[in-house]
Amino acid sequence: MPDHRRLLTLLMVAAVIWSVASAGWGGPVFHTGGAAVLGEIASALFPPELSPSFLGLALAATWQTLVFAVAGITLAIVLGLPLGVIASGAVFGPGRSSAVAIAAARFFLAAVRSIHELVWAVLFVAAFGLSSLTAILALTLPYAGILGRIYADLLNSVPQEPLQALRVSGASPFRVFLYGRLPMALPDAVGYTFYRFECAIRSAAIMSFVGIRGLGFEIQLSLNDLLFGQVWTLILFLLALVLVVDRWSSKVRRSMMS
Amino acid sequence: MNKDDNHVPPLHVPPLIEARGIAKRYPGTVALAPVSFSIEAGERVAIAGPSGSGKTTLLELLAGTVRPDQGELLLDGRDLGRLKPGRELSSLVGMINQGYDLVPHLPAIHNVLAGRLGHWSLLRSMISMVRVRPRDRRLAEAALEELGMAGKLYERTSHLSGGEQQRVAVARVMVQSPKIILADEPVSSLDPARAEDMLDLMTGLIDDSGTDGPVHAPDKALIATLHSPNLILNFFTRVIALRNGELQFDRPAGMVSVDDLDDLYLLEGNQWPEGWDHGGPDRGPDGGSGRRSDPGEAVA
Repeated sequence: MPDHRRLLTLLMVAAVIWSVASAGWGGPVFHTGGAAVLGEIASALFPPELSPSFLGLALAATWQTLVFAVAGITLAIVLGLPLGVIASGAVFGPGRSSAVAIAAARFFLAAVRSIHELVWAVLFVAAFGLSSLTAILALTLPYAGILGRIYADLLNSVPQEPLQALRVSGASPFRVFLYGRLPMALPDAVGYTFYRFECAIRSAAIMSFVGIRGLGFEIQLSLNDLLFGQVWTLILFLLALVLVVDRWSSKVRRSMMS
Repeated sequence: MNKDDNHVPPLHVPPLIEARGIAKRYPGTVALAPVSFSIEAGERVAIAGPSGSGKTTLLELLAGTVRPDQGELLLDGRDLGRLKPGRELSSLVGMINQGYDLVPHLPAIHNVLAGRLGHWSLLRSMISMVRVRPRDRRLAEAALEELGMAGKLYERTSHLSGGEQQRVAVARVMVQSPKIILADEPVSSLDPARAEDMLDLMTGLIDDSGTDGPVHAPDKALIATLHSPNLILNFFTRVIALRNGELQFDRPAGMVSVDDLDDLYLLEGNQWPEGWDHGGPDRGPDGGSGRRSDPGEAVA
């Protein structure tokens, strides 16, 4: 067993060395005009674009991104929670049909999360065009896969002793789930869902890569026009959005602890 | 003897627990060699023995969480393996664990009412999580009040002190109200005063049998694993001593001395002589604790 592990380590080290060596160090690595551009970008931060009309536009774009993220993560919870509960196998007794249900749920969760949200977005653009539905579904599927998987793991990694105590007092698997697994897994599940909500905000912002509006879309437009002041404003709005969610999540988690 | 009389209850009631040669082995070890005993209502049985002696296995067998490899186990005259989990089993057997095994995130009331889960319908279990019925609330309240914990109904369990959590665990078994109460090392993590307190509470569960009726004959039994000879002899009516998965003795507490119990632990780490056999599935030899192979070695 240790031999296998050592071999694997060697292979991975070799892969790293090979990839660094083949990175094409022959040509010029640095863009000679880069420093000047960097300076220009940095100086645009003082101050960023603060005209009322642009702030209005940034606010609308932020709202758009937030709406996509909220809708996407909400549907992801709605889809991921029941699938995660099934995939955890916690609510079933032993049996062939429950094994099939567990395997099916696990497969579905793995399948939807193995495809990146942007790839889903490309697929849905083909189906629904550049609509809100495209953005929301593209977020929902991979996030449902991720959340469902995590929910299943959290439900299975709670301390076993209280569960056993519930079983001995006559509780069926579903009742053990309700009175043991769920309350014990809930704080971590909520915390992780908030973290994923932050990720969903970032993902919603880059939906612009397939042409969907939002913060990323505006950043792209401003960048194309080399209006770095506007880019900074938009980035600050994105940052503010994430920070607000972060504060909210720690508040919720604190209240769950007391 | 099946003389049914209209006025007098039947003379012959089956013992609460009847074990006939139950045994359990795990790969590589015999957790419990065939053992037979019966326990009547009203008994308070201490299971004594060093770690790895098979105490916990015996409790798990009695709780029905582990099935014996051989032998028969009758609870209230019925085969344990055939009892339906849920209502049937939970009205017969309840357990208090070493760490109390409560769900720390829930308010105390839900941990107490979890004792009713075996009796409740699924729908009722779900609704109770959101809105506790007034009747159930009174039930939990009464149990906690009796244990001197009134007013802590909605306190988060993890915020309760160790002593309070132990009471919540006792309250759970109180509302479950099984005939057989099992306790796995209920006092192992408590200081001596607290330990006596806990055993008072638990023996109270047996003596308070028939709380809501005029029946005063005992209908419950307490079976607990513990180490302290003093606590065993003060609180229990009978001692079943195990070592290496074998029955050492099974006697009324009045016929057990502190020395007998101390001897059980002195032997720890020592091996019985090769080929030693206490004589099969019937009761072990009384005074078996005198057969130490080499006391000097054990002390060293």
